[in-house]
Formats: sequence, C-alpha cells, structure tokens
Amino acid sequence: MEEQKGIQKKKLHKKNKRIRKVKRSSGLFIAPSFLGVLVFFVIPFLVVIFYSMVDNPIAKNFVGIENYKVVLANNAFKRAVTNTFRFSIVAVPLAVLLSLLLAIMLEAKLPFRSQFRTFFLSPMMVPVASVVLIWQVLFSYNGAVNDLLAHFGVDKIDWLKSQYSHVVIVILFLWKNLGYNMILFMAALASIPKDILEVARLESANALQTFFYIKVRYLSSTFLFVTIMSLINSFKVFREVYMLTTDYPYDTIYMLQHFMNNMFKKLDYQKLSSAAVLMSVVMVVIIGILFLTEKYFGKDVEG
Amino acid sequence: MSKKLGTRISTLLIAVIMIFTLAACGTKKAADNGANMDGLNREYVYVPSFTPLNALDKDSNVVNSILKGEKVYYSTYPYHPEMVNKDYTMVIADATDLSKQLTLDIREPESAGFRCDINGFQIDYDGNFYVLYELTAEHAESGVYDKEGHTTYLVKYDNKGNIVYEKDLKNLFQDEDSSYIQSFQISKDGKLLAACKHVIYVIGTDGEPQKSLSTKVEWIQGLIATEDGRLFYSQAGETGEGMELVEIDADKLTVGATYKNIPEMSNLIRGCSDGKLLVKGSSYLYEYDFETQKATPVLSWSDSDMVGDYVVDMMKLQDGNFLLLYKDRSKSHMEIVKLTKTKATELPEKETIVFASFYSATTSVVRAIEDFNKRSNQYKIVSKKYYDETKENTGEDATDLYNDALTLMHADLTGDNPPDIIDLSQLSIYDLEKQGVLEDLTPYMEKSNRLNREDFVPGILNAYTINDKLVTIPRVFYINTLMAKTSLVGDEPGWTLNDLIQLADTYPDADLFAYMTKQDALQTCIQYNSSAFADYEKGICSFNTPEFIKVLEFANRFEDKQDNNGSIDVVEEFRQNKILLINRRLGKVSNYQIDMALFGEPLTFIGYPTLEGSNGAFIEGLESYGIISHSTHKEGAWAFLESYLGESSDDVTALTFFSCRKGELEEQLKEAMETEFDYREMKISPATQEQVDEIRRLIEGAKLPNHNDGALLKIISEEAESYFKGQKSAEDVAKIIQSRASIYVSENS
Repeated sequence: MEEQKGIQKKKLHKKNKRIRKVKRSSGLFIAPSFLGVLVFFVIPFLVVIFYSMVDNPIAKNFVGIENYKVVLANNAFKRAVTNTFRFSIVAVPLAVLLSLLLAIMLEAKLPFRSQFRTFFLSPMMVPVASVVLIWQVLFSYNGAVNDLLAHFGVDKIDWLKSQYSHVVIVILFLWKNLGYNMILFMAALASIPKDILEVARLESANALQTFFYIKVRYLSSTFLFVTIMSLINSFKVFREVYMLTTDYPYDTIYMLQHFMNNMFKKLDYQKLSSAAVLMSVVMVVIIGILFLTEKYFGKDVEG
Repeated sequence: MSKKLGTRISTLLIAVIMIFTLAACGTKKAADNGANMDGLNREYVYVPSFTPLNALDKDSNVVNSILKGEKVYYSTYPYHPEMVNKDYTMVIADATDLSKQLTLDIREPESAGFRCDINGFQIDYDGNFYVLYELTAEHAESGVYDKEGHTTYLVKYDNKGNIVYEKDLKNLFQDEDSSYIQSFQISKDGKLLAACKHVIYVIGTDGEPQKSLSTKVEWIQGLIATEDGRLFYSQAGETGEGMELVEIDADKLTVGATYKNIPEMSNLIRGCSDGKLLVKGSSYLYEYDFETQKATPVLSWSDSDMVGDYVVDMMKLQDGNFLLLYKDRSKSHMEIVKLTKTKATELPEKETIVFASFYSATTSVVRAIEDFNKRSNQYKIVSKKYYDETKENTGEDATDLYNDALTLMHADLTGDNPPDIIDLSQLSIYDLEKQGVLEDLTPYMEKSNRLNREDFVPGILNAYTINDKLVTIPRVFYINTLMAKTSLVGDEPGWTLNDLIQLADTYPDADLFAYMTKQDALQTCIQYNSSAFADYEKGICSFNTPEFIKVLEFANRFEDKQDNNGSIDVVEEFRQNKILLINRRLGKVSNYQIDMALFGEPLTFIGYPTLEGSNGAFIEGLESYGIISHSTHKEGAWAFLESYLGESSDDVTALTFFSCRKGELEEQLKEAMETEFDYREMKISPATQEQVDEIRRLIEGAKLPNHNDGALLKIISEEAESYFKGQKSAEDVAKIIQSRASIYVSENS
C-alpha cells in the first residue's frame, strides 16, 4: 500500500514536473511576442494614460481626471467625436455590405472576373498622396465632377467645404477599402464546406435561404474581422482628409485625429492623451460588443 | 535527445541575439560620442590662442594677408571713405611675436580717375613680393565689367619695398570678357603664374608675359604651390563633389597627374613642409596625402571654438601645431591664432549647453555663441537645428519635413534630456509657456550682477511677461504700425475698423496703401484685430456676421495683384491724399525723420484698427531666446543669455532696430538728435525733441501681438481668395470661414 502510494506520488511528481516544463518552454516561446507587445503597445499606452493625468508634459504634476473634464467640455473635441462616429456609422456598414456584395458577385461565374478583382484592388496599391491628388482633381470647386454636373445645368458645389464633404470622404473611404474587404470575404466564401451547400441544394433551399442560413453563419468570424478592420480604418481616414483639407477642414469632416494632431503641434500632450484614452475606451467597448455579437451568431458554426 | 538539445541551443542563441540587438538600441556611449562618427581622433584637441593683428593705427584697415615662413605679411591703409589713393603699407611681422615687424611704404600705381585696390600678393623664395592691383574707373558700375574702366597692375617689390618692375597686364588677357585674376602663385624660379577663368598665364622674372596654358575646365578654382616647389591648379571634382588638383610644369607649361578626393570646394589649400597639403574645409581642417590621394580630418573647427569660414590663411608649424590668420566677421580686426595640440584629458571639462532652433539661427546669435565659447572656461554651447532646409531640394515633401522636425523638437522638449536654450523665432511663445516649457527669467535677473530689470525698456519686459512669467527678452525690436496724415485722422493714435472704412469711403478715389492688394487690405483689417470676431475665452467666433462680410467686401475694392509695371510715386501720392496710409516698421528714429522730411506735415502713428479703437501699434521682438524649464544646465543657459543681452554694442548706429536695452535705446535716440544724414538728395536734420518724444510714446503704448492668430489668418486668407476671384459670394465664404475658424477657436479656448 505504502509502496503504491509512493509510486503514485512519484507519478504525480513526474506529471507536475512535465507540466512545469511545458509551462516554462511555452513562456519562453511566447516571451519575444510578449516583449514586443509590452514595449510597443502596453508601455506606450501606459505613458499615454500618464500624460492624460498630468498638468503639462514638462512639470508633470498629477491632476487626476481634470484633463478629461477639459477635453469633454471642449467644443472642438465634441465636434470631432460627433463627426468621427457619424462617419464610422455610415462608412463601416457600407464598407462591409458593399464588399460582401462584390465578393458574392465575383464568386459567380461572371465574365472579366479577374479584371474586376484587379480593378477593386488597385486603390490599395496607390499611395495616399496620389489618391488625394485624384480626389482633389475630381472634387475641387473647379474640379471634374462640377464640370460634369454643369453639363446637366447643376450649379457648382463646393464638395469639400460644405455639407457634401462628408459624402466625399465616405466615397473616398469605400473606394480605398472595398478591395481588401472583398478579398477577405471571397476567401471566407471559398472556405465554406461544399458538402453543406450541396445538402442545402438537395434539400431544395433557394439561393437566399442558402445565403442567410448557411453562408452568413459561416462568414460570421470574417464579418467580425472585416468590421473591426473597417472600424479601425475609419478612424484612420484622417490621413486622407488632412491631405485634402489641411489641419482645419470644414467642420463636418473635422475628425478626432485632427484634434489630436493639432494638440500635438501645440505640445498639448495632456489633451491629446485624454482624447486618445477616451477614444480607445470607446473602441474597446465597440469591439467587445462586436465579439459578443459574433459569439452569439457564430456559436453553432464549426471551426 | 540530441535533436531536443540542438533545438534548445538554437532557441537560446536566437534569444541572446535578440537581447543583444535590443541592447544595442540603447548604447548611450555610442550615441554620446556621436562626434566621433566623423572619424576624427579626439584624444588630442587643438587649443586656440588669439592675438589681435592690429593695423598701424586704429583707423587703418588690414587687407590681404598671408602667412609664409612663420611670418605674416599684410597690407594696410589708413581708412578714409573718399580716398582714392590709399597709401598702402606692407607689414612683415614675425607671426609668433607680432612686435617684431617691418613696415614698408609701397607706392601703388597711380592713374587719374581710377580707384586702386589690392587683389592679392605673393612672396617668392627670396623674400620679394608681388602685388596685384586692380584699378577700376570711379564711374564704373558695380558688378558690370567694363574693359576700358578696369585694368590690372602687377608690381614686384624687393624685400626692402623698392619697386623692381611695374606692369600693366591689360593686354595679357586673351579673353575679352574678363581680366580679373582669380589666383596667382610664384614658381621656385621666380616666374609668376596667374589664373584667369580657364587660362593660366606665365609671366617671366622680368615681368614680361611668356606663354599661356588653356585648361580643359571652364573655371580654375585656384593655383597652389607646395613648399618644395610643385605647382597645381584646382578644379571641381568629376562627380560634382569636392575638387581635384592637376599638377603643372611651369617650365614646359604642360599638365601632369591629377590628384583626386579633395573633400570640399575649398578656397584655401596650402602646402606643408612634409610634402602634404592642408585643406581648409567648412567644418574640418584636412591633411591631404598625394600618395594615397586621401584627405584625413586633422581637427574640427567647432572643437576649437572657431569658424572655418573665418580662416584667411594657415600653415603647419615644425612642431605640428598650426598657425592661422583669422578674420571674425563680427570684429573689426584680424587675429593670429596658434592652435596648440593638447591632450583632451588635460583640458578643463566644459559643461555643454545645447542651443536649439527650429530653423537656422541668425548670424548674430551664431557669432555670440562663438564668442561665448571662446571666452567661457566653464561652458561650451553647441547648436542644434530641427528643420533641415537642405532637404527641401531633395524632393522631400515640405509638410513631411516640417512635421518630422516638429515631432523631433517636441520629443526633445518633453524628454529627459532637453536642450537648454531655445530660439523662439517662429515658435508660439504662448503655446510653449502654456505647456510649461519656458523658464521664468525674473529670478535670474534679480540675482544677476550684469542685468537689471531697469536696464530694459519697460514695455518690452511687460510684453514678454506671460502669466507672470518673463519668458524671454528680445535683443532688438521694431514697432509695427500704420501712419497717416494728422490732417486726415487726428493726432490721437487708435481707431476701429469702421473708422478705417470710413476714411476709405471719404476718399473713394484714393488707395488705402500703395500697391495694396485685396489680401493686403484683408490682412490689415484682421491682422491685429481678430478679437473683433473671435473670443478665445468662450471658444466662439463670428465670421458669418454682416460685420465680417463688410470687411470682405471692403477688401474686395482693391486690386488682385500688385501692379509692378507702373511705379507709384508714393511720396507724391501720399502728399496729394491719393494714398491714405503707410505701413511702418519703425526700428530706427531715422525712419520717422525721413517720413517727416518727405511729407512735410504732421503725421500720426494711427496704428492698426482694433475692436475697441485702442492704439494698434505692436511690438515685434527679434532675437528672442528662452531657457527650457527642465534643463539641467539652467545656470549655463542664463550665463549665455546674460552675456548676449549684456554685451554692449560697439556702435549703436550699426543696430538695425531699436535696442531692448534702455541705455542703448537712449543712446540711439541721442545719436538721432545729434546726427544729420543724407537721404536720396535731401539733408535730413537731426531729430527734434518732439520727434524723439513721439517715438518714446509709440514704444510705451505698443503691445505684443497675439501670435496665436497665424493659423486663423491663414484660414481667412485661403477662403477669401475664392470670393476675390469671383467664384463664391461673400456670404458663402464667410460661412466657410466660420466653419473652419470655429474649430480653431474652440481648440484654443
């Protein structure tokens, strides 16, 4: 009995030793990535939080949430938040749905499929500066679009300095991002198990039923990924807007990053950091909701 | 097992490599010793000792000096502005003991109606000297070659100053376009070689031209002689960088080998006794070896607190030290500098103060830094610039360059190792103060033995005191204001925008200013008057109001572009009320004196229009520097500012603007009351007490402009353009300006 206990103890000890060993080696393998994330993401983010709670970047006196109060009361910040969310709410769903539509279209056996694919992917290859140049030629007050509209008797529209500026930026965003999203959806559509689609066909499911009951369920993780990427890209549309309209654009296209960029130029790190922290909190909440949604809709899908 | 072991070893190796790679990022020593990246061995440093090379008397000028055989040769003449015949004297002094000198009165060539200047001189191996004189007709237009009005004389003197020969070289030159000798040398057998454009002319020992050599280059950079008698001409390098030397046989007048890799387009190359060449670069002194065709930096001018551009001549002494002739442009006299090789460890360690500027610093502060470095045993100032203008020509986007420079500057300012002094030109003093970057200078001034608050013009210190902190003290300033006839605007300064528009309405046929454009008019109305439309405290603005639309419509009355074809007689038009206002940047009393003399009637500095109609005269301080609040060398930074601001100008009339120092300003005012001067064909009488009082009143009433308005003015100007071009209505433009400006004002509230 004692001997058996001893053997069991020995076995347990051996097992624990193996687990510890596995843990150690896993830790070692994960260390470089962890170090990278720590150095390039976690620590800088902590620095940003630190700056958001000090009076200025030089004296660095702790002021608690004072900067958050100042930022939340600032009209420019409020305007930037409103514009950014208004843009994201319009542009992200459009980017997801239109790219899915394109992916479905290109999945069908259409003529010139590969040419279409290349056409939609080409904006990804064009540098931002050139994109902006094209957009300026098209949408400036004396640009091509106004020239075209003049043929139909439409008065000139100041596309970038009026309420229409929002529309222009949404079109620019879609033009730039549809191709990438489309490729992701095409890959996801191609990976749906063929036997399930075959069964659905044998069960006399029509195209819409197949799409909504099978394809959409299998695409849920891609939906999530594309939505998150589009959301992140929608926050980055500032780059194009900045190059089109400089640091103080028409107020409808003044984005959160304009606010941050202008604060950086003024060395106002505390307002910049507070805005960044607030933005990241909102992003985390939105992405969390998206994850929960995906979990709910994709729970019965394999893989 | 062995496979497992191998995997472990390789994992460990990769980890070690990664750690080392990361560790390398922070190698402080390598970064700190950045100066060694130039390959210069700094185990030894060349320490300068300066001896002024005084001319014969204080009113004489030293011109054309050279070093030869440890002797300094220089020509000098007593200064007189209208003197044509300069009465040159040649001084030959022992370079190591200037008191041992020989003065020779040399007779210059005389030619009636011609001005005589020395182009240069050379000494031959027997101590004879050859002087090239340029004779230019007094009526000759500057910068235009006039064959009849110019000639070159070569005069050879023996070592006692007696003339051996005197030759007019007018007929020597084949080229009709120029007869200017850019460089000349003496061969070992006494022949003179002169380079003119791409041709080398040889003049025999009797002064007679012998032959010439036409080189393949378009322009000969210079002629060089080594101590052992070899002769070379220099030309631009093949790749467009640096130079090459081509050996010349003076007897056969043929070209020999080409020596490459002279590192810079140097204008000063001298032979050494060891057969090598000394090449003066802008940052380094190089030694060039003919055998290896390689130039090695011997010393860095900045390490020796010197400026390469100021070196006039140089030689290597037998003991390995260097002797230089040095002309600091801020000083009236030349200096002999001995550079003594000293072990770096034997030198007292100086505290390094970093002077940072966004763009290039002004020449005056660069000189002040050099002077301070020379004088201070405790501190050494090094300069740092964030924006690299040279990259603009490489096709890089200017906005990217600006943003990169700004990021770099911000990182520096907020980091743990900030610069110590910052040049505030073109930076927002308000933003920097708001973020706590600038140190309050008041406590330093209170402790200072050299500077007192009372030493400065009170308005200036008040203007630069923001939130009870004296953030900077400019060295000089001017007042930006508008001037009008008293008969038109009354004698009290200050008015509103409506007053200005009313004046323009009263004289509908008159221009507000000479050459005024729509944009100028708009700037005039808004530049110092933004508070009429923007309330930074509340974060609101009102550019879409009828008042602002009125300003746009008012500005639209003027011309689109300046009419450069027809020149306007501003004085006459102002006299006849055809021009109503003059923009004045008053930096000297003489500006006002000239106005008074020109217009001959009372004038009022009415100022720019303001919201409440107060005095719209604004102080624009120049050469403003601040101390960084978290600098670790604040005492050193103050020591420099104290020295810079405390240094009295030798000649207040040389200051191009009003001095911020009360004493100097008073001297400037006093000088103005005593000095009569010529302006065009008018004799301007000394300033009257009333005129000086008016200037005082103007300075006292002037305010510091809100420099935060730059971006706002840019938005207004950009958008107004489409209204001026007739593309949009004033209402539409006002709406767009309101939209954009509201963001700016909110951000800054």
